[in-house]
Amino acid sequence: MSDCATVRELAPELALGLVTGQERAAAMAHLQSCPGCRAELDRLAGVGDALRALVPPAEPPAGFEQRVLDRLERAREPRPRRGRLLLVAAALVGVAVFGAGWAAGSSTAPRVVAAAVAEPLTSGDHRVGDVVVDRDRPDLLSVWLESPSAGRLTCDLLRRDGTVAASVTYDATGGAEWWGVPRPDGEVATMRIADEAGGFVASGSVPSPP
Amino acid sequence: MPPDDLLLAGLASGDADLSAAFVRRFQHRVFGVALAVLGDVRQAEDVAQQAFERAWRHAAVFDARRGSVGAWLATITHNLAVDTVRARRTDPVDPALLDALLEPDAGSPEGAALRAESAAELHDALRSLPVEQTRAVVLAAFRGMTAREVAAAEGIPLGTAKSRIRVAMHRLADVLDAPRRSW
Repeated sequence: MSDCATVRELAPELALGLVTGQERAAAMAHLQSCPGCRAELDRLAGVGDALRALVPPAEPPAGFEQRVLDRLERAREPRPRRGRLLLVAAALVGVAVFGAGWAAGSSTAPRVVAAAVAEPLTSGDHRVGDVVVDRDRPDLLSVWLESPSAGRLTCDLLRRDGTVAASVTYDATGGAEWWGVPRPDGEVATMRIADEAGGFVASGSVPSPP
Repeated sequence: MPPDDLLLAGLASGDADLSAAFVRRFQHRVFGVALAVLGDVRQAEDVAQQAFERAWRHAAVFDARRGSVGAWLATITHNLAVDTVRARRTDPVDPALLDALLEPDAGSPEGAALRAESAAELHDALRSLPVEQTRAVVLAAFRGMTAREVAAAEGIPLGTAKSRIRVAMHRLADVLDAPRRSW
């Protein structure tokens, strides 16, 4: 931890955000316990803010606004969507379990999101869905797939050596689809989804239960 | 006109219209700060884009008690620009840039509003400092140069650069009676 003299010496550069690494860490540790130095730094930080406000605004290159919005769109993609998917998937696991009678006697109480684990299904570089497993139903894999073509899909569960442990079919109607697949006995590593003609649709890792 | 914090909340929640309005309102200021530090349009655009993304990621922790959305965004931009310039700075400081930074600027409507909000006396104080102190504090505050870098750029000893920055910052603080912030 620095002493007062060191921190006061450093304060102008600290206030302008120019101090990094250990020097900054040591100063910050001192500031935690020294109201005098903190007040001094606050005062100088105000100068830094005011100076930045003097910087002349500048016209960004043409198309800047759209490029920022596109970037935000890309950045937003995985997070909120995953949260929403998990919620939807976790809620739907309950419905599906109930509706399909896969688990007579199992609770239909809402599942909490934190109790589910999802792995992405991808096609090329694109994420097109999720495989979700719920803590309370470790033997059921919920598959979410965005916008497959209508038609029969084949969903293979592969072992680590690439052999098929189980295979189920699902009749997609187009649009976002989601269905449940019983997890076979023994380990499975990946899921591979193919269309009627055997063409590749998506693949991804099979999640382990939380 | 929606208040700044409403636009920020819209950005955080992913509302398309409010996000667009947020970018439109602050893009000149963000780009201006990035350009002042980097002095290169392409690098400034890259940093300005990063700044908006970071604003989105950190929107939830923005604390209105610590200052305006604009000042917060300017700080984010400045820090990103300084990080970038650390990694890439090769060009000597253009003396014309210093003059440009000290020019009162009519600029965009946002610029005019900014100018009104940011104490005119600070501008005056900056101009009334001995010129070597003004240069030192402008290089540090606007171009993100450390005392060591100022010393190298100006061909002066490190101690001299430090004391120029320090004296200038204290004199400006006296003029400003800078608002207290929690640190």
